[in-house]
Amino acid sequence: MKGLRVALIMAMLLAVYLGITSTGCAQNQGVVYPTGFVLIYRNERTPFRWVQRWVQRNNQRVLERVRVNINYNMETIQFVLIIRGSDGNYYTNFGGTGNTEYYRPEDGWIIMGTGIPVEDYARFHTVLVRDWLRLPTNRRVALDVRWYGYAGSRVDRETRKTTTVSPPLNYVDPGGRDRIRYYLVDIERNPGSGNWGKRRINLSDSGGIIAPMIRISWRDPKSNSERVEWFPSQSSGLAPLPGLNDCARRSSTGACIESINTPTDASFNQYWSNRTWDYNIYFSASLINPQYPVQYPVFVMHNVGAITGGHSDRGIVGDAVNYNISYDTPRWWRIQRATIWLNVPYEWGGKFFGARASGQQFNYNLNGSGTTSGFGLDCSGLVAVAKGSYRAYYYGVGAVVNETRWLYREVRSGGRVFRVNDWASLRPGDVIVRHPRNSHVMILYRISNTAGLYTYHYIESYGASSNNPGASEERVRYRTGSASSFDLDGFEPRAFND
Amino acid sequence: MRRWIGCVMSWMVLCAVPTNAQFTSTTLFTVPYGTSADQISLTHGSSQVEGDFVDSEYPLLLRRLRTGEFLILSKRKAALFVQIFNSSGQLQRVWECKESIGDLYSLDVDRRGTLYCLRYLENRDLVRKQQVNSILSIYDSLGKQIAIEEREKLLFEKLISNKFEFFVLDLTVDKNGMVYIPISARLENDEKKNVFIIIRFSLDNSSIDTLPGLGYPTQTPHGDLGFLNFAPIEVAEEQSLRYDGTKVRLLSGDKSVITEFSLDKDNEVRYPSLAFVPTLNYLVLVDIEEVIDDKRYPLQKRQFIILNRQGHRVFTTHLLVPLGSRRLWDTDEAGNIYYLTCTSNGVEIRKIRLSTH
Repeated sequence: MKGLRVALIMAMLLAVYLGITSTGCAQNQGVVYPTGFVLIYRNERTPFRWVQRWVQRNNQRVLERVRVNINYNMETIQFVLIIRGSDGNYYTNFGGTGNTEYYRPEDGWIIMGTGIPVEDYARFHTVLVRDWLRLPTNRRVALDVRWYGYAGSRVDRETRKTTTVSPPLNYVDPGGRDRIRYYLVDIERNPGSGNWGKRRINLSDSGGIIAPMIRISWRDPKSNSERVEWFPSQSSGLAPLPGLNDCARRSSTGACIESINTPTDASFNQYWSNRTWDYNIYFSASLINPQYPVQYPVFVMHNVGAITGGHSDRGIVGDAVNYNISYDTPRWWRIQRATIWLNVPYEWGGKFFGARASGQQFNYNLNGSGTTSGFGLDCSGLVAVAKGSYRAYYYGVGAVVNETRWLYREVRSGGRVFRVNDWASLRPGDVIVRHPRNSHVMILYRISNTAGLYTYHYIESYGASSNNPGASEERVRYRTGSASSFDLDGFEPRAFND
Repeated sequence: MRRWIGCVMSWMVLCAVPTNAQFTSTTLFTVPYGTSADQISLTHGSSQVEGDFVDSEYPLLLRRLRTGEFLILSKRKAALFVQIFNSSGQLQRVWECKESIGDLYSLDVDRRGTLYCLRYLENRDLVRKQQVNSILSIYDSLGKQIAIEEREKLLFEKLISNKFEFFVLDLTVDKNGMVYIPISARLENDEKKNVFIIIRFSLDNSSIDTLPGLGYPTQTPHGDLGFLNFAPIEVAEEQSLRYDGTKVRLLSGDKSVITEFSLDKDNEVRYPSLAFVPTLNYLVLVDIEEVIDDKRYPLQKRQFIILNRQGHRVFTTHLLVPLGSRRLWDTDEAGNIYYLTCTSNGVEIRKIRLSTH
């Protein structure tokens, strides 16, 4: 009996050794090394929020409540890095708890991956993720995992020409300048290296985009060489993040001869000429928030409602009753979507911050068409994405004017009647427009009352052609103004017809 | 007959614009357009820019210095460009400073010719204090930047302790060089309510304190800080920036009334923050009218409406100024008004002599 018990224990130990766990037999008895990566995330406290959305049901358009992923500033996002092992299983590091887990869409997880079979995305909710730590050490390779974060972007212009990134000697842009404008993306390495599979990221207080980047290295047992992979993938000339130049050194012909693979707390400049950067990121289709573009990992809305003591997911509470904005209305979405793009660089003609770097100072072509393949947004491009239109090539300030109505009132002065701007009728979600001279448009998100004076808080994509100190402000930013300052600058209040 | 009708029409036109023979507007000198140091640059920048006219070049502010000279502050070559002319229009000196123009909230020049540049700031920027390098730059009358690190540190502390939310209205500098920065702050016991206070400091000493905002900060005819208050008396203190439409008072910092004006119902004050009091007897309203195209740069029509204490119009005149410009007018201690207006030949510096009767 005792011998049988010993034999059973021995058999169990052997089973564990061979990888026979809850999933059954291991497919491969060799060393397991990474072949692909999945990054999943969800809002820790509120994985879902609800919105209304028109959907097609039985050839009919019906309004339904749907779950969407909305992140606000000051919330916490959970990230889990999952590797696809050479044995076909998926693993992550549970920090030694020994559990296996499912990461299902119904629990709010959003999936993006690289280097994994496309069919796995569709069925990822059924995939059991195993504990990498429970693989015996002589079966798994040692992973060195480093997390990086997007720390912000800036605009600058080079002070001297360089052979690697500057335009050719005879290059002159339409403003007469022969130096290039850089979009600098700053990334920083997150401290700590333990517990690599899971991360909690506390969102900043401003909204915007967070783009986690992960560097994973290990020694490949097959070739006995050091392997480095980036997530998002950097293979085939892909860049982990727009503006992050994936080429450190170029030949005289412009070919990339040295890639960047260790961006430790560094800034990188955008290459000046046309590039095609495409993301090798896939999203599980059922989980895509219909209100968002999908090229970026995580969008963070600014909780505008909290400014006045409320919360945006219950609507935006204004400083006065008529400045309250109901949740999930077109006005609400315009404001909230706009805040996602905070600090995105300005680019004239940019209609979508679309993960491709053109490097050109502007992106309107001769037909008057803007682009969705540029690096930044222009002022009307910000309005377009705030409306949820991500491919509005021809959406300029003139289009904003056509879609909106002037808010005016009539006044008597010196015996005459005039129509003047009616700033008092402006509500959050409306726009402030100057057109056609020195065209510009801003989106109003708050109106505050200080001792009887109304201050208008807006978000704008502010442009400046470079070689001037204002160039550092070429970005999507928050600002305030008063009715008189808008009138001095030739703006008028306009409202969308919703 | 036709000539007579013409005379009558002219007369009717003259009557339609109430003027007073005691008031005259005369041209002191003209500065031609151009890009040299003694000219005024008025150009439209690149069309590939949207926002705040950063690429354009145009005059922004006019100040009559205590020496009797005129200072014109312009945007030029993506910098702030200062020209000082004597009273007959001869250039005395120029200087420029590389300020991040797109980042500025407000600008002012005192009568000594010192330039104050206030950068944009909001509470959320203040929370991330490490990202805020500087909120105020000051340049002396020769264009040399004045080091104010210690004072700026005190200013930051004052903003934080007063629960600063955002700037409201432009900064003001009085004849003694005292700087006043109007801010919106949160009430200690009501987080949802904004209050209006003014931070006051001087370059001559390290003290920094706050004043209650009693109205729109302005200079009294004597060059001290005053407040224009358009609110009804019963709410005048708490709602000091509210426009009521019946009276306007010029208050001193101790709340005493320096002078008071009635407001005619036919003279709505659309821009209380632009109004000013050149003498105790007159209130000048500034109205903003249409924008007109110009081959150089879009120009905006603005109007001075001068009211007496009873609220009657005694003089009106139009200015034609670059779109986006700020205060292209000033006063002196005698109550004369100086202003800049664009003409086909250049910018004219004009003077309105106000009657002291």
